[in-house]
Amino acid sequence: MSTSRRSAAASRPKSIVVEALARVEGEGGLTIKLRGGNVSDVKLRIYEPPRFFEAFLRGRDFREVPDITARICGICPVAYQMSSIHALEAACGVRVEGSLRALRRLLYCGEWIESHALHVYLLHAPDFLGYESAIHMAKDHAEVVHKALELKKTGNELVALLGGREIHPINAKVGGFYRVPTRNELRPIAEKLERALELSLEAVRFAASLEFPDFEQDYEFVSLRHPDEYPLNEGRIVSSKGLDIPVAEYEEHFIEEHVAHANALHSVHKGRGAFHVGPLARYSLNFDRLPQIAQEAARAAGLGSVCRNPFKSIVVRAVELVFACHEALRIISGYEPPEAPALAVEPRAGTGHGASEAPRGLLYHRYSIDASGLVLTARIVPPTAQNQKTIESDLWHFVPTLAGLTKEQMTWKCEQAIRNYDPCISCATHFLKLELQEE
Amino acid sequence: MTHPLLIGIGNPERGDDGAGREVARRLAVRCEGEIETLECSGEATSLMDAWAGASDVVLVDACRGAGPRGSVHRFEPDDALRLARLRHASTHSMGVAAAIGLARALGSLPERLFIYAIEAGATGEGCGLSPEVDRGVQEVVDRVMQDSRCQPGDAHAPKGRATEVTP
Repeated sequence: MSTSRRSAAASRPKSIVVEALARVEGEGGLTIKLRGGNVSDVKLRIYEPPRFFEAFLRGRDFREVPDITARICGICPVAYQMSSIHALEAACGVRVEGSLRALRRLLYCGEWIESHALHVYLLHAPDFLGYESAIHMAKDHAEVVHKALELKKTGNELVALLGGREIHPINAKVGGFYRVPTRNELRPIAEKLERALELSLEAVRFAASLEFPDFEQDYEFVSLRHPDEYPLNEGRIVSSKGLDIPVAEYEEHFIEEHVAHANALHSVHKGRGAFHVGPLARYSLNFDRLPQIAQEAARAAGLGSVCRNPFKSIVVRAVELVFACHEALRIISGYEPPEAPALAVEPRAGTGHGASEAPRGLLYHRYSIDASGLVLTARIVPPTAQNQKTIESDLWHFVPTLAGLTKEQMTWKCEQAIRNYDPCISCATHFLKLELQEE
Repeated sequence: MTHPLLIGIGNPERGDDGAGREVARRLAVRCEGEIETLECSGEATSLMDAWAGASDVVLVDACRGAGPRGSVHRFEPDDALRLARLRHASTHSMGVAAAIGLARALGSLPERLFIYAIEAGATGEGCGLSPEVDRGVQEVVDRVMQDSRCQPGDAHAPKGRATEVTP
């Protein structure tokens, strides 16, 4: 073999192994096999042990559920509380409106702010700026990191104020809250949210200044849609391919499949296969529900009303930061404390369905309870489980565009493509191991 | 002279993972007014917030893989990467090592900071420390009191609770 042929062979990746993909939640791995430069197999392997939450919810009192489901994730506990609470209230025939509903939405805004600020600036931005981590990035971009920390702190404080503490909150319950804030208690956080709104607008400009691969996919976007609101905790489930169903019909249209290479189930739309949940889906299906300030920021960032480039999810998350800060301020300005912190909820035998928009996408819960309120069955479908097939599909199409890159460069790009989804593997079933092999 | 700040890190509802917070609770009783104590989950941004403005900081956390159960190990900030490997898996994507790394890059690392790590055993669901880790906790309490020349209060006083910044 001549020297030049040896060099060419040496530069062509045969196997790429990343023992632990950083900046994602949970433990899993990815294997990509290549044959003659083409992708022959992609497997997102989630080897985190199953956590059996659905099983150990059985036999518990329905009032215990929100505090148990809040333990599923340290990043998005509010989402798990909210979806379970809505499902259980549906089972009990109770609907929470007015100030209590607004406070739940305010709590959810806090979670979106802390989660999106962390991901946009500290987890995803280093990919675009060419740094191994936020720590490496901080040396050159201290200002960026300071802004991220300030935004996240405001989100943390909002969750702590409404939820009792900032991680695994304990103040939300079936029927409302254990304690609700006074108007005076909300005033100081409103001042911080004004500053956070400015920082969010800066985040959109920052994200828009990054360079993006020219990569778009014809996704079936799936998210909640509400008649008046950008979706957080309520709405019908809609898709970009015409689906429009009540939450209770979710399981008639989406199924979970067991695959041998993952401990998390893969979700598919019956008959159409992979679908996409999360910021890109919410935004593309609900652009008209964004407040004007967020729409203008998106337009100025070069986004249309639909975004099919998953790498631009960093811009969309920043737009959603603008929404969350604006929405939180709107709720606080109109807040009148409710007469009671919670409605009385009496159990009755039945089944309830709930869905809310976790920072990473649609989160579906279903519970059946008996007349005494004991949980008979529980079903939880997290956003990352729904996105697994779409992540694999993105890599099938993205890897061929990376011809000519070194193994290290390809690995970096593939990790970045996975982080487009801000995957929360802990929720779906912890590390992502990336393996690229040439057959 | 300002008092040293001790931050106990961990999850008291996961067995030995509560070791750091137990150190903070015992010192809150024994060295009230001489050592400032806080409890924290260990999430990076909250941790950076907790030590903001302090110049003399001690972190106490549980670890895995440093030695036998209950053994006590002292680390400097330069050991942050090693510490990251010793911290058991967490659902929080940025922890103590990230907080130290970020603070150093941003120039906000306290002037003096070191970490006591106590080797954990069982970290399953539920409260309470294993006997070995309980002894490790008392060793750290004694060493911190000695380091700061704290005059001990009543060792048999009711259990204290340090100020909680995050659970």
